[in-house]
Amino acid sequence: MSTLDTTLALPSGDSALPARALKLGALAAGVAGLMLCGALAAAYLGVRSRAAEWPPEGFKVDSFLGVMLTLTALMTATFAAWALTADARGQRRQAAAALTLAAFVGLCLLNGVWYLGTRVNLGAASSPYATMTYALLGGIGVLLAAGVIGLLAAVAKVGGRQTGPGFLGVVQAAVWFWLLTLTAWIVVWTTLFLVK
Amino acid sequence: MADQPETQPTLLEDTDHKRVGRLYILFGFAFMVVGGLAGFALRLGLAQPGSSQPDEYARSFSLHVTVLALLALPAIWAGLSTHLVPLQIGANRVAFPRLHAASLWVHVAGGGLMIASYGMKGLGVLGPSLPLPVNLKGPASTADQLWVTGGGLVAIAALAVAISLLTTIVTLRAPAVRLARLPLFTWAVLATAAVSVVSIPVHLAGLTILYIDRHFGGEFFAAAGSDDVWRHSVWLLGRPEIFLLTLPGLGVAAAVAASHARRPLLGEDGIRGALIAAAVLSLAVWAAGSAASVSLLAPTFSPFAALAALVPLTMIPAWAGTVALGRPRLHPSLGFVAGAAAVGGLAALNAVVALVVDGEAGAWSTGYLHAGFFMPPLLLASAALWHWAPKLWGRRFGDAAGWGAALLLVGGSVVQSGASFIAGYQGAANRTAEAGSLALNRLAGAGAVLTLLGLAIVIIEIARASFAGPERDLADDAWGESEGLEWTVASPPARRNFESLPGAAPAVTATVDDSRAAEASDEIGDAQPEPVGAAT
Repeated sequence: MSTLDTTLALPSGDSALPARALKLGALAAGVAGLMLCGALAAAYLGVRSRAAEWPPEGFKVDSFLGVMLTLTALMTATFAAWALTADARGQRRQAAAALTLAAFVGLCLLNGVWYLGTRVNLGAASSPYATMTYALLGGIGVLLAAGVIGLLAAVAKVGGRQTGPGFLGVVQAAVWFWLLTLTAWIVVWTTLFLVK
Repeated sequence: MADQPETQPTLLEDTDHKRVGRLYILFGFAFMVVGGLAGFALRLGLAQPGSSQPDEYARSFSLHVTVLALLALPAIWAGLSTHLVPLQIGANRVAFPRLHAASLWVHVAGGGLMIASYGMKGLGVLGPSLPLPVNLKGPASTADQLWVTGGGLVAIAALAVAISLLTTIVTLRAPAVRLARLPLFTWAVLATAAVSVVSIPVHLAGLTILYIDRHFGGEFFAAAGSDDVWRHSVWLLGRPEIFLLTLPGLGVAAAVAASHARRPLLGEDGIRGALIAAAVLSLAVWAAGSAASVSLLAPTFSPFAALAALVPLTMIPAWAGTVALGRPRLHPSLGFVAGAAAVGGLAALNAVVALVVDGEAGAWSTGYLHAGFFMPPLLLASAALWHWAPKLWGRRFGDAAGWGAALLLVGGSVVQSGASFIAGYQGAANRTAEAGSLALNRLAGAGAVLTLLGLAIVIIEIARASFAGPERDLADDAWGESEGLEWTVASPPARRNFESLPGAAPAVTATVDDSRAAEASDEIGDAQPEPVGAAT
């Protein structure tokens, strides 16, 4: 049975969506997310270059936590790549397992970003440094949440056997968006923890 | 394949691209009325010195610019694109219909919040125009936050539409419609969407910082260098947008010229390249620096900005040549295109004059913005409405009304901008309620009245078409000899645009790209309608 015979719960376009459409949409959304974080990083660097004191006196950047979160991001990226390969080979169970792991580790990453936000322990508007830090963490947090939702949707599709030829390429779309979001995390990490 | 629904879905749940497109257009013109009236209030203030307070004037100025640049013109283009692009590429839908429909309501809600913020006390209108509508350094207010939240929603909606249109054009084309042979309007929309996907998130980043700062009462924008952050975040949206507001219109002009001249467009490939060049250059002009802190919209004579403005002008000879060599039908849409070229030419002429005449002042930029960046898109959008009304509403718009609207809009624009240019050369300041000579201000005010009357005619025609319903026995190709797939379907098109893959229309008679056709066939499987060759 093809997707074309499936009745949609809500009225929608009445013809099939090629797999390329979802993938391109995810790619465009991922690029937009990357631009968002890139612009925030540029703003951070722009203000930092003219600041007399950066970060505020007495504030210590916790590099250890940043490295741990980046390692977590690499782990989830590995699982996502595994899911992509398994899906391409039609290995449904492997794809489901890999996506589940990627989503779970992604949630850990999201939780870590949240924790990082609480550890900053500065008033959000107490200094330009604090404002930019929260903006960067908030921006990447929203993107990570969207990425995890995408991965979970892909898990559901794989579990429901709605992948493979004739279907929407949801696994590829979710993974591509996720990998671009992780790239955005690398931008944020570099800005907050390496450049400081 | 799902059957056509028996009952029309409600406005909120309908995802049909044609209905969403029409609603976008209606809301766009509703916003246009708000922005137009704010501009008229400015003109009234200038015509009667002392009648308005400086802060009231600044607020009206900000409302005028913000609503027209962010809410009205983008919504009108989004509506036209949403309605027409699938028809032009042989698709039955947009790629993400629910996202697309949701973006409409998010845009309306965001726009409503922004406009409401101007009615509240406490909106710190530090600068009188878009770059600094919110007091960056003073105490925060609910109105400030409302403005920023509304701006964020509008930006998100625009991003969603851009992604949906980009994806639709690249992936949902009928196999015969090759990317390199897209109709020029769709081609221009593709370029616009691609640039928007890159530029809008930067503005969103600026709004995010601003929201945190305003909401938590911080002093981010008091820090050294932070003004630049906001300015650049606005520039990267605003400067390309100024050009992108015209870009789809250039595609409209090409389609109108070819259709009503009843001959193929001259230099079509060149125009295709020029549209891409204009889009790329528009993205580059964000870096064109300026000494003035509120100079987002002011002309900067950097090479990139000059090139980006020059590219559209190079298309005018192609349109004129097409009409001159064809068998032109005197249709109002041609009048709108000619008017847009004339008004744009007036702006270009004054840009050259300003290079050699020393002392052009703030009032000059008012004329330049109206003639160069706001009126041409409005005129070209009106041309699109008159040209594609049979597809949009199943009715032709009135010829007399069209010519009347074109004359009023062009005449009003020339009078208003001309008076502003002269005031600028005389050294009149801008953005204050006491600027310039009274006679010139009153003359510009008269121009504004003419412009509003022209706008009223356009809105009346839209309302008439919306309420009167489709014409009986209106031909698929309402103008005869029109090229493009949209003219092969009924006027107005059925809910499902194409029952089978459209036949080879003249605009897309290029060789079928076999690899694309095969790929599409693989993906869509047995539901893929017959390829073009078989259909004919």
